[in-house]
Amino acid sequence: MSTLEARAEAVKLARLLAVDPETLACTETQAAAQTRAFRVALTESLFDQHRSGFQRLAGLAKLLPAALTAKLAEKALGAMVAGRVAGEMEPGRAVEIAKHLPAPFLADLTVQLDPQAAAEVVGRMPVEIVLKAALELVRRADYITMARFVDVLAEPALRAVIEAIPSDEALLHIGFFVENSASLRALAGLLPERRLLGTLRAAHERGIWPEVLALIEHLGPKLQGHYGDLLADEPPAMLDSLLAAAQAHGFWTTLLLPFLHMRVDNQKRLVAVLGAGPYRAEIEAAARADGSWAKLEPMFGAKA
Amino acid sequence: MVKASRTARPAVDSLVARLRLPATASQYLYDLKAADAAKLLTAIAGAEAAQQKAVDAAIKGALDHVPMLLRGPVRKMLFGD
Repeated sequence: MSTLEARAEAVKLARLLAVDPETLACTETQAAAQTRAFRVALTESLFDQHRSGFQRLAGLAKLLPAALTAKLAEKALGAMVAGRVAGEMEPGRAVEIAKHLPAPFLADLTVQLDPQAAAEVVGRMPVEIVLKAALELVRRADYITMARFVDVLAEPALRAVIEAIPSDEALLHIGFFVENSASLRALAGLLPERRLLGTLRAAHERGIWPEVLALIEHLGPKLQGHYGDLLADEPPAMLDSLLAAAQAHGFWTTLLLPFLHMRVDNQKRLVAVLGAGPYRAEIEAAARADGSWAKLEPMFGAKA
Repeated sequence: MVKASRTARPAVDSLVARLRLPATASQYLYDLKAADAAKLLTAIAGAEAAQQKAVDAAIKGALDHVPMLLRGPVRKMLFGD
């Protein structure tokens, strides 16, 4: 999964620097965690270059009515500066101003906002304003920005956003870009069963299994097993496409996770398919590599 | 790991000092190949310039967008005069 994560980090770094992701494709050779740490430090340093300017602009919000400040943000500051200034504002005042911003500018501003620097502002944002920005970002397919806010959104807002996004594929893309494993687990935990199943079907129909496997890798055993159980109840064509993707991308170790934690009856059903299928050797090699073969061997039996 | 070449190193050093990047972040740049570090440095310089331009325009533009009666306090807040 490291390649996908490294690519996601390269895209995020390119976004910060407002360049085409291809320009920074070279950073994909670095470990994702290192590129992430670099981006976080760079974000802070770029912000610090103009911190006093952002603070002075934030001070205007104390002088001017909220509606006028909102107009000023849109017409004079622009999204980049407004996004940085928002993190320096008193949270209650920032919320008042956000109520006067149109959806497109709210989304532009969200792209520029550092979720950690503005965590208190974001956490106090009313659900209707969060939804306004989120739906515009979904319309733009800006999943990277949406993922950055999963860490800091309050649970009611997160639930409302999930319900408001009709596309399970969009949820999958957002989940792929979430950086914090705990937040990803929390997000997945909020998904009702039909949405979890929807992400599997989206992966099958759209050929985006790596996104599902990246998600599964970060989940706890219970949800990993639940994913496995859902998969076991789907038509065989879905399992076939998942196995082909695992072979193409070398994701066998990740693929074992839902298998190891699914219901025993479903394990037996899958063993009957996998044990006789063309990928038995890959599964055994992956299980031996991660130490789970001792548990699987009695089910699969000796090599044919 | 291929380190930044001698030609890239001074540019990396200059950026690290200018942005006061922590050691971990600067090491990231040193660990890139020289050509890759150069691409990243160019992108960072572009972002710095864009931010400078945006902040200057915002401070100037803010004054132009407030009603005449409020310009005194706004000017004081922005420019301290």
